[in-house]
Amino acid sequence: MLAKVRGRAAYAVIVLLLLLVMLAPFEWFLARYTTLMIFIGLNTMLTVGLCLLMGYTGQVSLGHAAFFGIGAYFSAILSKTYDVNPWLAMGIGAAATGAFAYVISYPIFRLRGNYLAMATLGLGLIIYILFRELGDYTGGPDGMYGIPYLSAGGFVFDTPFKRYFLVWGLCLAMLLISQNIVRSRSGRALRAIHGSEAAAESVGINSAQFKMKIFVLSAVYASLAGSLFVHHLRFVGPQPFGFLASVMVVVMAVVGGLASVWGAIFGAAAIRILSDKVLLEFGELDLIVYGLILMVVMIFLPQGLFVGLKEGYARLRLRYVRREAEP
Amino acid sequence: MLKVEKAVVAYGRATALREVSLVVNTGEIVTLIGANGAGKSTLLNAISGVVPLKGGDIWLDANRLSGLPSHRTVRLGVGYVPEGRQIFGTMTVMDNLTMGSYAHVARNWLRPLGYAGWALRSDTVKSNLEMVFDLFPVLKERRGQQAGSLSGGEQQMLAIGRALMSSPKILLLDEPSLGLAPNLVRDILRLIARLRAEGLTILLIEQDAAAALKIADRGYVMERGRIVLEGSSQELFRNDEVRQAYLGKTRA
Repeated sequence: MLAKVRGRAAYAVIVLLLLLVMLAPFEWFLARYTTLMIFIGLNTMLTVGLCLLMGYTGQVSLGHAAFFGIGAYFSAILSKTYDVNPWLAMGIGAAATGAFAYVISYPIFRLRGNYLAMATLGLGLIIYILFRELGDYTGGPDGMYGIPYLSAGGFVFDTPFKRYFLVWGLCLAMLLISQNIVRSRSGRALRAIHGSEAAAESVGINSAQFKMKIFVLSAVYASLAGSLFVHHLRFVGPQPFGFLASVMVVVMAVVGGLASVWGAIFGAAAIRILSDKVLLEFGELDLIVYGLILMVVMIFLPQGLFVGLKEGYARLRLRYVRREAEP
Repeated sequence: MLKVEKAVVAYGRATALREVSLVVNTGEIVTLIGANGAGKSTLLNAISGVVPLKGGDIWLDANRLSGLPSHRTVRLGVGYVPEGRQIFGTMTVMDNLTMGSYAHVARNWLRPLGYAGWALRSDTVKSNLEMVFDLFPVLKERRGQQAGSLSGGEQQMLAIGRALMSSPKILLLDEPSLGLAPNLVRDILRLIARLRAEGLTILLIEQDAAAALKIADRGYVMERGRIVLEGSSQELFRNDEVRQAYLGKTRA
């Protein structure tokens, strides 16, 4: 019964996405929102990785922007400085980020709770400083310009409109992969780990290995998003990979709902629109607003916007049906 | 046969097990008696691989368990029911049970099929499931229900059922009656006796030492990380010190 509702909700999201894709060609939409939609897509990629990590293995990462940045800089440096094919550069970046995540998962997952959060925070800061200080490669605080567009055969992704489809195609693929993982045996194992790690181990689940795999997967997602990000902007600088970016991903994951794959879109969209359209007025105070959002969502919608809205709708309908039934 | 030889476990500086040796023969129920903090749970944790050994050795039949983490020992036949049940509350009863066979399916040839393989399920899993439902008819009734919404007794049955799903050679039970009503405690103990009758070997920790000794073949008494006394259930039952300290009875 529950599975049925969940399945229907997933279909609703897919239909919604298709609608958005079909809406895109309209000129007014294109003119106003394509860039925003691209950013929402990129943020969704980051968020869904973190949702898997936080919602299904119960681990926190406050340094996720670092992986986003590593992918971005790999793509930028390889494709601009060394003239590597952008797709290849993207692949190399993803592989390198995955390998990096694999190596650091050994020391980092010995920690738990707040200590793990602190360690990932530190990691994010270190990587951010490296982006800024390794000026010979990264262009330092000024960044790098003139990064080539992605192209396939003779087709160049040179307009936001084309990149919109590229980003959302890849984003949808990542969401479906995540959905598959969550629904499969591995997903049950992940939920079991979240339920009780000791009991999960006692039935034969290698919890350390599962956490590591999800960590690597989320890092690879972030890296791919980073690569698309630089090929979209054709510029890379350290600023989008700092602490605030990591916090924003966490806020998006929480708002969307930690244990829901499709919620990632909602979280990413809500926070992105808020930060682009509203919070500019607040200037430096936006961090406070994110904190407030985090608190409010945690208290009133602990399962996130997606599940929260769904349940709210169910409750409303139930009330409506009851009223109908009254004589 | 489970053989523990001079097992040493330490948490930081505090030594929890000091050269503990014990034997559980195949088909036996052996119970551990002792006050809180005597090291009973630590011993079970060490056998299943939750805590690492600082010294000594643990064998189950021809397999060495020491040094293996618990996700490996379960594949060698150790079924562990941890204290406080620790069921997967957000999953259904059925999912909890099928998770119990995780180790089975993991080494099954169906594994590359992923989800499809899981749906087909191996024969072992099916027959284990039948056995568990036969032992606990209430779990069959509630198989679609969320495990977290079960009553305490039902959760305990589920925890034992989940451990049985891995076709264990030996079952380690850590206080299965904790927090249960007296009549449920009797049910659980009766069930443990029935499991033995079906050929399972059991190592049991139980607060109610008298009740445990009634179904056990032998027992060990632990104090401050050591085994201080061992004997058949009758011997321990008659032992004056045991009667005073753990059975709550004065001299007969």
